Amino acid sequence: MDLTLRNAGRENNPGSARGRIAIVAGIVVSLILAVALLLCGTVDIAPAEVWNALMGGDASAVARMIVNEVRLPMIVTAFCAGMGLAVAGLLLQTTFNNPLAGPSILGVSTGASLGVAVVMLGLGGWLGGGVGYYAGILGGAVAGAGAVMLLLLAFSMLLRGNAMLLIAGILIGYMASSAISLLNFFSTQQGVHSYVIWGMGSFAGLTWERVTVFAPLSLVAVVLSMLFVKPLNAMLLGRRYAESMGVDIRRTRNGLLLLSGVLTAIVTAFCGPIGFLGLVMPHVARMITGTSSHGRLLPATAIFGGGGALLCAWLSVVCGGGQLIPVNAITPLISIPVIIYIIVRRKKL
Amino acid sequence: MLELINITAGYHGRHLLEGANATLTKGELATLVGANGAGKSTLLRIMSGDLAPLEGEVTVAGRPLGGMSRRELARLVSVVNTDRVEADALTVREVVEMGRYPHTGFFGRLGADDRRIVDEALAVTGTERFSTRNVSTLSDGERQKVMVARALAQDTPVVLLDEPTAFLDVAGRVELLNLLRRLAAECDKAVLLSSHHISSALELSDKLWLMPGDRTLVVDTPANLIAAQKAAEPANALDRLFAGRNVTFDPMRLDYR
Repeated sequence: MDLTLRNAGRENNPGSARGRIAIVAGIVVSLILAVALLLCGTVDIAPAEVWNALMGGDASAVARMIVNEVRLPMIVTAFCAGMGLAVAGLLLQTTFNNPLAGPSILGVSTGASLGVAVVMLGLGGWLGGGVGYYAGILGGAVAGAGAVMLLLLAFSMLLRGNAMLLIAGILIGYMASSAISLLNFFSTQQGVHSYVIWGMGSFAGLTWERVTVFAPLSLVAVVLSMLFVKPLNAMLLGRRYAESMGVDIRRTRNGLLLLSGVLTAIVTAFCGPIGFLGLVMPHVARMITGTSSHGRLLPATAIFGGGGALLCAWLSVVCGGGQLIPVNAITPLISIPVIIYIIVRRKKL
Repeated sequence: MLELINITAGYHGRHLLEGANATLTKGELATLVGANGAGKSTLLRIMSGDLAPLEGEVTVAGRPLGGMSRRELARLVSVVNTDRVEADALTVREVVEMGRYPHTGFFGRLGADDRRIVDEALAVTGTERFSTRNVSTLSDGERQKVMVARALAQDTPVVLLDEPTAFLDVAGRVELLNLLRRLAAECDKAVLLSSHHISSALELSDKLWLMPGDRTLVVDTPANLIAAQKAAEPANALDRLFAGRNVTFDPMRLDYR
């Protein structure tokens, strides 16, 4: 354009400063929660002893075991799980242009659970123990989440309106649940027991051996999602505008659904189904950063997702009075008020 | 710049256009006029590559749309459509910056040139003064201008706008039409908008594209169209446009009454 004009020459908008502050604040809060989770637990250990146990100083063998083999892996697991679910939720919300999309509400988590159930209850004995067993569970989760993603994709093309897709997702979730119940009914006592424990959902109980697989996997998937920042932003303007600006919408949407399915599957395979964090944490990040622009929103969602999971883990420890409260009893309590606030404020979907 | 070759459009069983030919040239502002349901939006969607014609071909700069990638097409044709943009917590500036999409690299970083073009697009559309506000806080008219600014930032030789003046008051409408006119004349762009305001279309456009609803597309200058109507030529396009409706064209007022 050649029209002669004043040039504002503004370098940055004030929003990006707020985004950066929010991300730093999220990291600080997460670190505080991590320290809190190191210091408190079902067994009382003095802060000094926790420090010594961490640093290899003078601490009892029990304290060393609890801090290094129980609390530390749980902190890493919770943070990575929250991060993965929140990013999966954000990708779903933008892809479907639906503020109430999330891995658990759309049945993706349940699909992953069904995949895990098939592996645990159906093939458990055949796969044996060890690496093959966990690879099988991860594969089952990815297959289950992927199948639900395909269904959602088909429904999103058939159905008009955001509420309809949510209803379809909820119904898919119920179908997967009933398939899981049937699998449980026809399975051995042993298999059902281990599946039920897994199905409660938990950040605890992962050995370092598994954390060192889980954490890098989820980090890689979150980093991969950063590659989609540019098309994600264009998709905020709707399909037609995105296409008119050069987005190959089909390829982008398939990539995003695949990625959020894989993220959900990874977290579900290692921690069991965790409800609502994936739906609510992108909104928390949006409120705090004040932006929908994914360059800032996506990293903020990852950090706040991790922090939110740490908060849930901390509550499950301190409110349990010596026992661990199942984390899925806590996530809805802190998530659903936020979701209701969003619905009431928007007055529509 | 943009050419329709033998276009048949519509839906199977109900054709809106049959064998239509037209050319949109550089430096020209054209207005697409037709009754509701005549197929204005369908034609614009075909021209922007959003919809395939039943028959025929659209070419831009001599190349058929069908053979182009999305990105190539986005560098040639920008669009303002009637979709309501929800993008709640994006600022006006961020939306306009998105117009640079087909010109920026993988992560969408803006260079100095990109920022200058965005600044210009904000300034000429009068959206600069609320550029830091969130799009969700804007009125429909303001939002419309932002989408026009975004299309300008895309900086394409062809600009297509589907009823860009729909939510604007009279002042806003005249301002926007004058801006598009200057854009066509001074920046040598080919601009086509659809509109229901026949009088401003006749006054301000270089060409009118009329869809009288009989599956034809008539493209001519306002002067020729008015002359034909004044001479009471049988089947002149202005009289055919609303044939069968209870209105007649008044050449003095350049409008129907």
